[in-house]
Amino acid sequence: MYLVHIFINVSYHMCTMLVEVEGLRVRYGDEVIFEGESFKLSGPGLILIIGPNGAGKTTLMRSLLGLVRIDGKVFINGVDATGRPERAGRFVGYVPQIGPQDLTVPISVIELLSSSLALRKLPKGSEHLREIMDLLGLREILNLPLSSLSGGQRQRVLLARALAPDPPILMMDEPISSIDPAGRETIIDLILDLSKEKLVILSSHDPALFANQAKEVIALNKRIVSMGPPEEVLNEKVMREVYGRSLILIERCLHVVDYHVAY
Amino acid sequence: MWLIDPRWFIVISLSSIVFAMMSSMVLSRRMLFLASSLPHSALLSALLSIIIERASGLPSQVGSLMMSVALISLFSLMISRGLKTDIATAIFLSMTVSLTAISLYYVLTRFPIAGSVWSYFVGDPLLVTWEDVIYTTLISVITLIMIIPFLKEHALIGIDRDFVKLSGVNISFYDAIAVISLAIGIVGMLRVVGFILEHIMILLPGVITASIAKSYRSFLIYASIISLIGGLGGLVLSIMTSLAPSGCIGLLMLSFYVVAIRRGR
Repeated sequence: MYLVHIFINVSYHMCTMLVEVEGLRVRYGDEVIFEGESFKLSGPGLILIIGPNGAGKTTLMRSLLGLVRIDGKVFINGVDATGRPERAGRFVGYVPQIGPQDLTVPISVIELLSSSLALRKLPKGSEHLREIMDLLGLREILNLPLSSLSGGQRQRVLLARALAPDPPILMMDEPISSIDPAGRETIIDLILDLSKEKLVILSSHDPALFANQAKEVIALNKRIVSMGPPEEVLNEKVMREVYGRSLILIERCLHVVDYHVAY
Repeated sequence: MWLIDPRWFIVISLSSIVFAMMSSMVLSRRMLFLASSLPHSALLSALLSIIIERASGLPSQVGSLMMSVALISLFSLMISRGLKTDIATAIFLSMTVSLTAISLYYVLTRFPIAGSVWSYFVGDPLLVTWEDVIYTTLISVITLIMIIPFLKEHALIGIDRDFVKLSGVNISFYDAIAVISLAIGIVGMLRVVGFILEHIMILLPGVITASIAKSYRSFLIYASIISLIGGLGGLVLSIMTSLAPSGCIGLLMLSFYVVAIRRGR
């Protein structure tokens, strides 16, 4: 019984997805953001990071990935990944914001994916990669240059690149912002499916899109204003502190509350 | 009948391929600002190597390579100390341009080699000796060995540096390889191509083909072909017209660029 108990605990630990942050502080010149924040994120599930432009959403993600110099500690699945992106990269697939301005040289979808896999010493012809390409509908665009793709297609390619090593944790920086409304639903559905098996941490300046499905919401305005289940965070008081306006969430839409009109 | 010397075609072909690969790497790594300042550091290195040769006997070809790598290391040091790339490049450019003026004045007034210095500005592929051909071949091989095997990584770093860091790759190695290979290539080709034309050749092959290629593989192939056609075509034009080879090559590359822009519209 004792040995079975240990086996179950070890198995659970290998399957958990956990991000632990202790005393997070980030300095940009004289400005300090995230003054000593500590929190834990566990999966599977969807963690939503919200805030206006400049609130620190990307900075928070890059801090968790070891890409930004911080005070404090970040542990990913028990491994100290503070300032060590190569350690974070073992557990996390990252989907950044890449726009046309970043694509100064022509590179096709298949070249990007195969080079990225080679960089991680992963086999290019794996069954897992083929499944990802089918899931994301990439087969018909494999030979197209990345610069010719729509925002949604480019996002799917970057998602495939992030998913190829089958990481337990997925971080996505504003995955919807550059996608037209027609393509958004596909990406949203994909993300929600992935969150059933992985810890998905994504940022958005529009909390309405994922509010109902998120396990936890982190509201930022150069610090963590509030953190917890959506019903605790997405209230008028927190929204005013985050966005500077009174906002309430009704049916996946944010509405401005105008007290003058109400009275 | 024109007098044709195979040495001209060898050095121009080699320099064309080298510049095609350097230009491809520059564009991949988004180092356009730095690359446009490198001919200035190459010229400064060449001038300083003349002074060093007179003082110590160290051959100027060796001295110029050492000075070029030392100067680019200064740039890398500024970046490693946290300076933004654009600011470091501006400082680097201002420093090399100013020191070039001082060195040029010193060399021209102290040493009776005005003709040799002039060749650094316009290039003299038509006056190369077999020793120059061997030197150019050596520089080409070294530069290409330092660039070609790492081009895919350079492309990935240029597109998404964070992904490469997360993949556990030592980006500092690729940064060092990039700047050192540029430092060697740009000063090694100075006598052949000239300071003036280097401004064009370090940028245009990559910029022209980026607007017409659909994949990275075709980008590299087209850059090499266009650079070769521009180099050899410009050489033939200069032989036919008795005009400076560097000027003819530059105008031909410019015409390719204009055609590429119009095609891209």
